[in-house]
Amino acid sequence: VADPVLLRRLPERARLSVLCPPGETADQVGARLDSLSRRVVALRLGPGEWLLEGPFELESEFHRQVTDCLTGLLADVQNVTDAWDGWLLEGPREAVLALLAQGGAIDPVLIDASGSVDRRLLGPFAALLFVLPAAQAALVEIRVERSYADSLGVWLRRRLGRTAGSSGGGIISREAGA
Amino acid sequence: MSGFRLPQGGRLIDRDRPLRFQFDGRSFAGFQGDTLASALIAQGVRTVARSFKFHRPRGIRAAGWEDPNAFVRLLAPVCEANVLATQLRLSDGLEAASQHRWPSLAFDVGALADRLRLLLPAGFYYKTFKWPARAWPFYEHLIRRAAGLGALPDRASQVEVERRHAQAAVLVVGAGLAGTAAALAVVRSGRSLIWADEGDQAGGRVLDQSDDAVLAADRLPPGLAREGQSVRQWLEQACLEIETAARTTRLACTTVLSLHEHGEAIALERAGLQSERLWLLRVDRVVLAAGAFELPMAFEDNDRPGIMLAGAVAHYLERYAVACGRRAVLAGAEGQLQPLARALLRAGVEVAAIIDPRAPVTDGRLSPASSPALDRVPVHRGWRISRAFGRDGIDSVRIEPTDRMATAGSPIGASGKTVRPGDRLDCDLLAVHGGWTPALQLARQAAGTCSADGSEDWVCVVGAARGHDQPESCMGDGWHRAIGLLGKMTRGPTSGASSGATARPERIAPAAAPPILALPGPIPEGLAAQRVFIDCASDVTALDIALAQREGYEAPELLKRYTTLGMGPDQGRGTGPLGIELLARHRGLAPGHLEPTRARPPFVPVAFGTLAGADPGPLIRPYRDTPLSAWHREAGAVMYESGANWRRPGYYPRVGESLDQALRRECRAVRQAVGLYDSTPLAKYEISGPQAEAFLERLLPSRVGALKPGRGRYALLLREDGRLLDDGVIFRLASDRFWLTGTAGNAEAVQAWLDYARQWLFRDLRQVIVAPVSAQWATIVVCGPKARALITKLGTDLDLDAAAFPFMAMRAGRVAGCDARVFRVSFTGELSYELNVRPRDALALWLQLLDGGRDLGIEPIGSEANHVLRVEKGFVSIGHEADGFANPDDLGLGWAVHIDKGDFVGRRSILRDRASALPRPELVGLEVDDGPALEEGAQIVDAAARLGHETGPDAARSQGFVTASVESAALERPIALALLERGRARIGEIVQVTVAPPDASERGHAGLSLRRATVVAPVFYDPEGVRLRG
Repeated sequence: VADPVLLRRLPERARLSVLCPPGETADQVGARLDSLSRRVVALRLGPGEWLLEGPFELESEFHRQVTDCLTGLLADVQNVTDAWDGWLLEGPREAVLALLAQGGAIDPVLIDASGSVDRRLLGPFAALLFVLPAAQAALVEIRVERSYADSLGVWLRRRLGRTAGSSGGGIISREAGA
Repeated sequence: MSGFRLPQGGRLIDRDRPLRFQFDGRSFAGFQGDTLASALIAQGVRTVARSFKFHRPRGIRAAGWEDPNAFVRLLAPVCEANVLATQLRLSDGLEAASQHRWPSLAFDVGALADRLRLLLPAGFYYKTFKWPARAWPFYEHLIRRAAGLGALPDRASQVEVERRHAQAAVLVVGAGLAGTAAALAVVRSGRSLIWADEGDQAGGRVLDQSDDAVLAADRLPPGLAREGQSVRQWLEQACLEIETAARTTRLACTTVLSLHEHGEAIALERAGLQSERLWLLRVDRVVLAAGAFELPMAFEDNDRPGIMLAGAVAHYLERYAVACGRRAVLAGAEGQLQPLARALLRAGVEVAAIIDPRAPVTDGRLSPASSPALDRVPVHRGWRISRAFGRDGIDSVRIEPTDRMATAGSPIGASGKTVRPGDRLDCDLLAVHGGWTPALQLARQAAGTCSADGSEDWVCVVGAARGHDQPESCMGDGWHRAIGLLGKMTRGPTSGASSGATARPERIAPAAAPPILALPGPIPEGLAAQRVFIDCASDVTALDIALAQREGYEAPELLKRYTTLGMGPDQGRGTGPLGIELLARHRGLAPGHLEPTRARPPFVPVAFGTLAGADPGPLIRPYRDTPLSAWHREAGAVMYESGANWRRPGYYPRVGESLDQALRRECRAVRQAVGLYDSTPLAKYEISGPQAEAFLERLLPSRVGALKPGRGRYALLLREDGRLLDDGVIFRLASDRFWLTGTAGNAEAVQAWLDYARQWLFRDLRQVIVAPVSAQWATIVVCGPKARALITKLGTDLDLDAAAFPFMAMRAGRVAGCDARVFRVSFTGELSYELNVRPRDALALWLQLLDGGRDLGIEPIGSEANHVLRVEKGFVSIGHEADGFANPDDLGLGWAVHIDKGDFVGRRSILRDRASALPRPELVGLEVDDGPALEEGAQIVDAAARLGHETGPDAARSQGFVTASVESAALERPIALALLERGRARIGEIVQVTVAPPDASERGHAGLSLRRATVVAPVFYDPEGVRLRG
């Protein structure tokens, strides 16, 4: 029996979307975002597209800080704190991989690279996977548009506790607090 | 020997674990590791099924998916129809039954068809059931009852299905010697590998052989095998190396179902009877080492139980210690049958003779190199089986010279015994080997052909599928061709799948075409030809092939459709080529001249439940909730899926209230007091940047530049053909920032359209940013004459006076303590405020509004009431009136198109439509005098039309259809919107509308009637729009 995979709702965070035309402007925007505080996580989602995350309690300050940072550049900053939600998976690498593999062809390299971001279809969900640093286990955040979060939770819970087949690398999972 | 089970041997069975199972109600014993087929053969059960068309008794013929008949109904532990006995692993308590017979397998009334088979040749249905035409429903009933094999289970599947995705550089299909060598090459290259195979252990056909030959290392690539290593030793070592490699995914008991472009493959893994896993694979390259199928032979009554493929006989003997008979005749190429003859003799089975249809050589004995044990086995070279005898099981065969002229004068037998044409040899087992046909179905699915070419790209065929039949040649082929394939991979080991542009499989050419012995000698003609079964799955006979050819169906694809050759559950895996070769012979063409028919996925039958995956029922689609969904459910709302996966409240019935009553109550609240509608799913975009205005001017048909900040207008989104893609509103938030809305169901399509416009149509406008903001705004619509009073009561810093905050204006401010963007737009025709707030604030605001509006008569309303209210106002809805064909003029929305403002998307098409004299469907209203509302979707015909007349003045030609129909609460009568040809010019005219019978779904078009309706203007309520501007 493998160690369990834990499933938790993502904690609230302040989130900003930054969009700009790709190309030279995007390079400048990216450089300025790199200069933001360490408390800000900037996930680059594509050419000229970022999702920034910061402490929830500093939401309005966060928005102001980023807007100021990008002054003079053609960039759109939207407060998307309420637009995203999701789940946190924590467990042994193989078990987390096997669980995610029920929704998409995950490159194992992703799980091994802390800070990596994968924007993909996970099962029927347009999801954003974000790998957090963890000493022993794999720690993966799965973000979706907020309206899908409950449905994703049902999808994930349905896959928790499923026993392994002949080549599954056993998953015996439970939801945190359950 | 107990029954047909040998006292020892059997690589796959565990004699320490006996099992009990039932077949057709009889109890039998087997061993752990058996298949149902091996266990039934071991128990002496010969007939396991009845054939599809003639209900002839059929036994187990093969050992794999190529068996055409051994389909059974599984009753326990799970219920499933059409399960192939050769693939069904035995478990204790398993219950199975034969199918497609009545009342029993031994006595089947359907076998009467066999007596009448002269009347039932290919094409019988097409020729017979076309007259009289009115009798077709009766024929259809009969045909439907006769069609199909098994009965559907009466309960939901208990098989647990999981879906799994994986990616790798290379997929190797098959774990025979060639596949194993190819997989080894991949592993040693350091690339990631997915290795899939039918069996639970590698080895393929090697596992069917009792001999373990030493490999000739000098005939192998250097380093592939050690000196003196046997085949099995090499396999064991190779598998260990492959399976322990870090980047290998080994899929045992797995069938690759399909191969698609872009390196996509779908495979099915079976983990016992109750568990399946569907794999969706993404790979760069594919090595196909799927081997070859053994062909049967064509002769009279070649379908009798006890006639088996030689490879299957070896399979059951070696893997399950099951002898398939006690006295065997072997037919086929002598050299290929020698190992089987030796194994049968060792097992105590008498080998009556080997019949080799090829031209005679030497003295009719086995070659000098063969085992002395075979000395006593008569070999008849140049002879063939011409007929089998025995009804429920073979008891003898008749032999004839293959070429009567060459051998008639010198019949030769073994041990000095001669045979004569027409002699019968007693036997209870006939093992036939008609040659091999490569298993290229997957390659053909991936758009491959079977013509010769040496080129290869992303699919590479190796091993037996290319004609290799010796261990060293198979291994060498797999190794070399896999290395060749890897050498063409320019990207790194973890690269993604190939692009579609280069994803073309090689043209496949078997290295050396094996001899086709499946059609030895002349094929009988006339009545006898109807006993020569070419495709046992569909009961296609040699007569059918000849008939089809005579009637002009000379192409294999036509032959297939006319005769149903290869259309049975086995998809002609082992017999399709036989029919094609017979067709070639009838046409006087050389063997191999005709290409086989196209293979289509899936490679083997798959249950729908497996494809549906792990999320049955309502979970098969994801769903979306608004921040208020929990409240809606708690309030007793009937929730609907209303597009784009949103679950929204349809209506809020009170206890004992019907849909109509609830609707009337909700509609009345909006018309007389105030209603509350959760409109969160509305699609919303912010479009900003210095060129945002220019972008929108080109995109939308209305003037955007004229809008001042805080003002907006109705917006149409047109496709290039001038048809409506979507509609919504456009507001200017600031000088360089706009707010665009669209319908919820079309949000993704509109997003894609905006991206297309920004990135391609108007790529010169680079200073534009389109931000989808739907998810960060919850939208609550407060509508009704008391809406202003309600918001004022709750407290706001906005001046809600009509002059200060007019219709089609927006303001940002605070409402009931929440930051909000408030828009004065209306979809109900009443005074209306659309409050957009942060989703986290939505529930609190909703509750405050409900609470504050209690004394004003507030009601939450669902999408049903919203629909009624908008129909009363004649507002169009995407998907109803805007059906993908309608342009703005058709819908009476020409006022929203500023055609003279300059170019915009769809302008040219609108001008073309306006210049055309062709009549267009136009939006109108319909009223009926009495009775219920019209049916949505009902067709509109001329007042004089009569049903059943397709031409002439009475013809009932459709002139339009009803797009929406409701019982108006405000007008207290049914009303409808419709798209009617030249509708606006016909206002006041009487038309007829079709009425479907109550059981329309059962009766199709039969039973339609007509009902009269009056064409009216499409706005039924407040046509001047006084209320919504109030």
